[in-house]
Amino acid sequence: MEPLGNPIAERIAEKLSAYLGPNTSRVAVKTFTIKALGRGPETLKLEDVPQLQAALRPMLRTFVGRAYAEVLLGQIGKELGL
Amino acid sequence: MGLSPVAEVRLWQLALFPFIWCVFLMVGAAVIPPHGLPVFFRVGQEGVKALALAGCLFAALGFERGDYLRGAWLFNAGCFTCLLVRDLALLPALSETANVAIVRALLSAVANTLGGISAWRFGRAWSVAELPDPDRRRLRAYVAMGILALVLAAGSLLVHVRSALAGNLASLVYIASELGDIVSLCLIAPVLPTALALRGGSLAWPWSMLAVAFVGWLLYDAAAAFTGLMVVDDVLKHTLLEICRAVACLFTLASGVAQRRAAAVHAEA
Repeated sequence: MEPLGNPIAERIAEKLSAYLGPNTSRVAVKTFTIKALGRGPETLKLEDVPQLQAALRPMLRTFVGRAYAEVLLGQIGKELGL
Repeated sequence: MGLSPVAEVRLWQLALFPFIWCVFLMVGAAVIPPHGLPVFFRVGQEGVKALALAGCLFAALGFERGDYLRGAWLFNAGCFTCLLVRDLALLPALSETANVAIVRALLSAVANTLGGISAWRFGRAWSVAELPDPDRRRLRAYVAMGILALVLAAGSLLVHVRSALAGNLASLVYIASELGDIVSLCLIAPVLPTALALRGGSLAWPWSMLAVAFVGWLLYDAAAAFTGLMVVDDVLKHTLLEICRAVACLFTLASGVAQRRAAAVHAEA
């Protein structure tokens, strides 16, 4: 598994992996970081996380529904101290 | 958001129930006298469909209005509802009423349409989530399953079309069912690559169980084609078909319960 090259991105991927598995969680972080910020996950900063959360929301809502998507995104924010 | 008692059920344990039911079917087929078998198989058939319906509704209610998969589960529930209503026409009090064959065929057609829509929605979930598919695994799955479904269903479809053209209106039910199976199996093919992609996460369980459910329907078509072509003992034929149906329906139930459990299991982390 290719590392994301950024501790914040890795922590988010780890949180997502409980639902999506390690492969898809990394793909999701990479895909939606590029989509939200126009740059790769290796450049992710703490202040970028809310934008990434917003980009992840529709994908998570598709698989777990709105309620649990918000719970997971809240957990991500809490873990990162946001 | 606390965990309910249902959430405490380990995900893998949900996969045990279909196997236990299949063992029960085999034992029943072996020990029940021949005159009792039609009732045994019929009760089992309706039972697994009702359980599949319950699983679909349970999963759907875990989503809110507007959530993508809620629609997929509700259409699947609609399919099983139509099948159960259709089978009511087999009751002695109703089976002699006028046009019952046409009504049954229409309900089969509606059921298979709803099942097809459900399969389409499940199959598209990865794309709707806007996750990448660089290897075009989903497209390859559609093509492979389309070929397989046609090969398996073509034989019995031809037999039933000939029967319907000869005036046997009851064959319309089978034609609707077989066409629905072909379409649904094609549309739901991407479920397996989705399940594989989610491996290691809790969501792999409902998606894997859904994949097993559709393999069950594939095996059902294969068994129907095989037993239609060969001279097979009637009890063996019905047992085989009911096992395949049980796998399909009970893994649908398991998938529905697993969907709720998989979403809830980390909520209290």
